[in-house]
Amino acid sequence: MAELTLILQSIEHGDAGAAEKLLPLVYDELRSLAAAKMAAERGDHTLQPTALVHEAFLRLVGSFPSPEWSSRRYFFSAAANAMHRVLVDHARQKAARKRGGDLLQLQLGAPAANSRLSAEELLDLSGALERLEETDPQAAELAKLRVFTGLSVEEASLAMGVPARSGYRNWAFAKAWLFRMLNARAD
Amino acid sequence: MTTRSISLKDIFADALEMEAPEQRCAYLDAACGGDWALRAEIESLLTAHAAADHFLYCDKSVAVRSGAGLVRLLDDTIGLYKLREQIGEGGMGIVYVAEQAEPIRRKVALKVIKPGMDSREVLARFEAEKQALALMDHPHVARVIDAGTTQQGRPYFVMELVRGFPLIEYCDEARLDTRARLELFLKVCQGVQHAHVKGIIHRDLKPSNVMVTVNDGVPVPKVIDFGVAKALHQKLTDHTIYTQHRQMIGTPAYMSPEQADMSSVDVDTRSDVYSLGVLLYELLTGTTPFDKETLRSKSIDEMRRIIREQDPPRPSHRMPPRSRRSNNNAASTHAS
Repeated sequence: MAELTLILQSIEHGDAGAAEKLLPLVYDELRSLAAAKMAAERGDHTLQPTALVHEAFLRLVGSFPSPEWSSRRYFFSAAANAMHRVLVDHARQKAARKRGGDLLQLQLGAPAANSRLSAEELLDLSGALERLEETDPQAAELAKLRVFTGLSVEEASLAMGVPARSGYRNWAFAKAWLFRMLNARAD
Repeated sequence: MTTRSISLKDIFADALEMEAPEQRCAYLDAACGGDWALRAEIESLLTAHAAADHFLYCDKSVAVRSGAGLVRLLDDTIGLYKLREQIGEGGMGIVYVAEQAEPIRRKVALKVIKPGMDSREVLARFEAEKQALALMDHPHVARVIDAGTTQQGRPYFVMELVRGFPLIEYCDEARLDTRARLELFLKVCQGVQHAHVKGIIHRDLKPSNVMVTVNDGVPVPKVIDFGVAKALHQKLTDHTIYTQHRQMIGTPAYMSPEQADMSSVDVDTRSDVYSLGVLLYELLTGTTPFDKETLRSKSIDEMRRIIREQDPPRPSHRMPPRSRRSNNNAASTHAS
């Protein structure tokens, strides 16, 4: 439990190698949480990645005082990448099976009504994010943080260590770019 | 001399911050130079951004294409408030339920004003009233909590969330008789009176601005949108009275003569009283003094003339079916 906190502290103290330990730790936690959720819910297979990330954070940090954003940001970066992998793995399985009644529904971001993506749509989104990363890595990083960990623009800016204004500009660009790409595919 | 190379993203983001088309165009001319490919790419992204925004703020049941679904999912926070479901839409703006986390957890109603209003002016007018609005504390007035501007520069207002029915709809659904309707109306008047004592005029009293919520079986009316109408109020000119889609701003059927007369000076509490009168009329007879459709279909001058000069039919000549007059049989035979 304390492992994550120690890792985050080491990163904060400049230990670059510590960051490498972070991703597998977070990935394992998220993967097992996701698997548990999927097994538990027989009927409506809805995953809420944001909730999972926050749950993982709580489980990994435990009752220790919550780390500062300067180190918390590494968790969220790792979580975004890990969650992305977890979801894409699931989506690929579902898409491969192509069973009509077995749709993987994802609630990304806030649990607003009707805001769900199917497995196929997630794969589209994932592909689009990878393309965005080739065009503009900073915008893509922000978009991934928002999509997979549910952070607001301001929170994601904190996580990336950039001013909010920068975050909003990156978000506007990412939004326009992704919207254009995804709608081109839909046609 | 070194020049900082500006990226595509920077030009896009700078252009986005410019509201005026001419300004934006001039900027793009300068920034793109003769690079037509670059220019086309940025224009394409600006169009996509506007389309994405459209899907967010005009939330009708659009088929969820991946792009629209994405932006609707994520752009869900305005200020400190997380947007939840949309619960209303009027000529002026869209209303959402929103969640506030700090300083206290609660649900609120958040109204985002549609583009086309000058945000700075709207908020300046709101600021002027904010102090008085904060002092309002009455069971029949929905509190106004906050106001601000979204990232897109649109004003928004945060109000006490009142879940219920608009006044007349409630009375009809609950099949209230005349006496019960009058009792509710009395409470509405008390709320408006409280505001008037604080120097606040509503300016847009109509059935949809009086919401009835039921607490432990007791209907409680609350007047909503205090301060909003005043902040949004513009001198109505022929030019501004219709939005892009020919939707009339304001509701002429409830407007007092001095409000309808667009060249007049500021209105006072008596305008609210007039509107309350219209409300009472409709509450008891089932129709407004002047037929809504008729007013809308007339030219603006004719509409103003009707409101200012015509005498509407007396309520007693329009009384509804016998069954609604009273649940007490003796009283109903008395009324006939």
